[in-house]
Amino acid sequence: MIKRLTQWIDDRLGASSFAKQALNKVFPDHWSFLLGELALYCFLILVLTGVFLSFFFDPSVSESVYRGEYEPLNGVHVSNAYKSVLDLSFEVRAGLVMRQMHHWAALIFIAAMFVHMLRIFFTGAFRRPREINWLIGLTLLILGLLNGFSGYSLPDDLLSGTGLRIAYSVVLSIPVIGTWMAFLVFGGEFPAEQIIERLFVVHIFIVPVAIAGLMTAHLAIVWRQKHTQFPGPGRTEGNVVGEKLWPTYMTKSMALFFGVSAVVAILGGLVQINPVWLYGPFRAEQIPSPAQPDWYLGWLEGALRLFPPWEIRAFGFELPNPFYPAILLPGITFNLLYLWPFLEAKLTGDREPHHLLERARDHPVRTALGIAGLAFYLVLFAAASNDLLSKWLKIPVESITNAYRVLLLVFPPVAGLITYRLMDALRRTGAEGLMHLPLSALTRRTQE
Amino acid sequence: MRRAVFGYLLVSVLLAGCAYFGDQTAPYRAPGVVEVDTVTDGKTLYMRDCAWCHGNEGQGTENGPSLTTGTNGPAMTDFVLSTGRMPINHPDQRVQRHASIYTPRDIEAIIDYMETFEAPGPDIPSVDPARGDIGEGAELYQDNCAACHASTGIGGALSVGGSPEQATAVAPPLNSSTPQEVAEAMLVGPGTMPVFGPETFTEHEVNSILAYVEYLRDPNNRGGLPMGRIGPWSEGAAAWILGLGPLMLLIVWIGRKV
Repeated sequence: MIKRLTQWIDDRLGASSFAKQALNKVFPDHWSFLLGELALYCFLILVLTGVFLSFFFDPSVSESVYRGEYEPLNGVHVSNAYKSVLDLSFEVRAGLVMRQMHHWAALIFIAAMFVHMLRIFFTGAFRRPREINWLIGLTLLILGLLNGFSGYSLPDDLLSGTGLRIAYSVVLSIPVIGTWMAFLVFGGEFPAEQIIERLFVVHIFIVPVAIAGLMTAHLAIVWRQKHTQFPGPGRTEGNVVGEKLWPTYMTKSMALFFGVSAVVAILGGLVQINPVWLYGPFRAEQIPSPAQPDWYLGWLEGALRLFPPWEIRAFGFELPNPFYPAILLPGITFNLLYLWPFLEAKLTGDREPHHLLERARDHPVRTALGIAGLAFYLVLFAAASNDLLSKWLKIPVESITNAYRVLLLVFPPVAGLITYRLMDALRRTGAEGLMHLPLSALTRRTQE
Repeated sequence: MRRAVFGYLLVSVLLAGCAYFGDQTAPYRAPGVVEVDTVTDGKTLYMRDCAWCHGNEGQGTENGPSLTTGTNGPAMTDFVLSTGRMPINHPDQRVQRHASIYTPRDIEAIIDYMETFEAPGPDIPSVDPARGDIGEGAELYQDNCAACHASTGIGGALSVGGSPEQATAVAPPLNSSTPQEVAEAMLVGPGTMPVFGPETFTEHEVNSILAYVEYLRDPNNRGGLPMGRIGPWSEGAAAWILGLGPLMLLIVWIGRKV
């Protein structure tokens, strides 16, 4: 029966030769090559749980009196968006576990994409001919950030409303066109009535479709260009040494999907995330504290907290303060990242196609720059919780902010220099790893 | 962090010691005597523990502020003594919550004695959170308290704007405060906290806020581990350590050559 069915399909589509070719395709072995797949499965879980949530979520900000299971808010005026999230959390069967899985999967999704990008960067996998996939991957990361933020804002609770207020101020700070932009995006003065509905369309339709499309292209290009591999015995620029898609990689991939599902389900079931009922409904006159964004926007929040209160007036226009940390900084960050493959090719003069990966030590300058950059964003990220640190250490928040400002300027170059020395020593001695590095290699600088 | 913990333990031990000896040195009371001259008892305690900094008549010294001005009065005294904020061993010591070294009767005695200072501050309020409306309390709490004490009542850092005497101010967590203490703090505005007196809230509103604060001590933790109710900070840490961490181990395991 199955045989006849497959024969019937094959006669019409001629799929068997393609399937055979596909299933026999060889992928190289390395654990880090599964990072992207990890992100892919997080996305799949996000789509599945997100569809469930969209059945119950109501993106409307019109208000009604809450009468539901959550006793402390009984009789309080809340938006329908907030109310539907309370209902999802307290009344819809499996609603809360779906909500929590969705949120956990989102946090892990972006973490996995980020680590995947680091792997690509430090192994030089973005070099010719893979620049296009670097651009697509980076766009996927930005779309992930965008969808994280838009989803985080949908429940219309006090914490996320505060995030939206920051976003509104950031848009306002764009010189000349800021005011118009803010009104265009939000549909009026904050807290604008339309923003939740618009974010809903962005969150469940526009961005996910873009992500799905770009992910397909991302994978198709990997397929077409073949996966990179680390140098090793028998591995050359012209071959791929590894295992076939069927059965090895299909099995590994399935296992990974089940693993991601398990971790997300365990977290979703056992660890509370975003208890919006405690934050309360959004009110324009209220502000919560401590107020951190989800982790992936921590660097922007930290930049806003660290940037000195400078404002410049020129030609009758004001350059408002949030412009530098929240528009200029991410603008420079993402442009640098987009341009990196081309900048590096220009600086090194290496325009040859590469299919063998580099180790971090093979390119000490790139590794050092990468670590310095990471250190910079790590300090910004840490600064996003300066108030919590102040509370825990009982040190005034102003002193902590100043310490972070100094650290932001000092830590990246120091980290970069140390990395350069270590990578250079590794390259010269050929030691297996940092732990095997002889001390003498660190004290001598000159090339032997 | 370790130093902070050590310091905290040290202070706790010292205070426990104080509490122990405090009880030891309490004046002898003949059994069966019902009428106790609390004013005399209070004076003894006041002279022993308070007068050193605040002066014999509460007039204040260079070591401590006057107790006869501002919102000082029975509510303030009850608040600082029952939350263990006073006494401190040294004028520079941080004023923060500790186990009180006094019995309720001692505190009553000290307050009775201090009545003779005729301080203008409010009397000890009588509260009954059960008569409040928790929904109203939630809204009032978010409006007036959450900006400093956090939506979840865990407390938070305060921005002090360069004022040196407030440089170490934090809004304390509310999860170990009794409704009585919260009501007293609202009346007198200790430290950097503003006064939320009868001009601001009616008795019913105060009771509503107290009901919500009491609820926040053990709120609905549907969804699982609350992780300190710090919000996205602990969620981000968990996403990396409990989420991506095990998944990285998994890919290291299944990514091995077969």
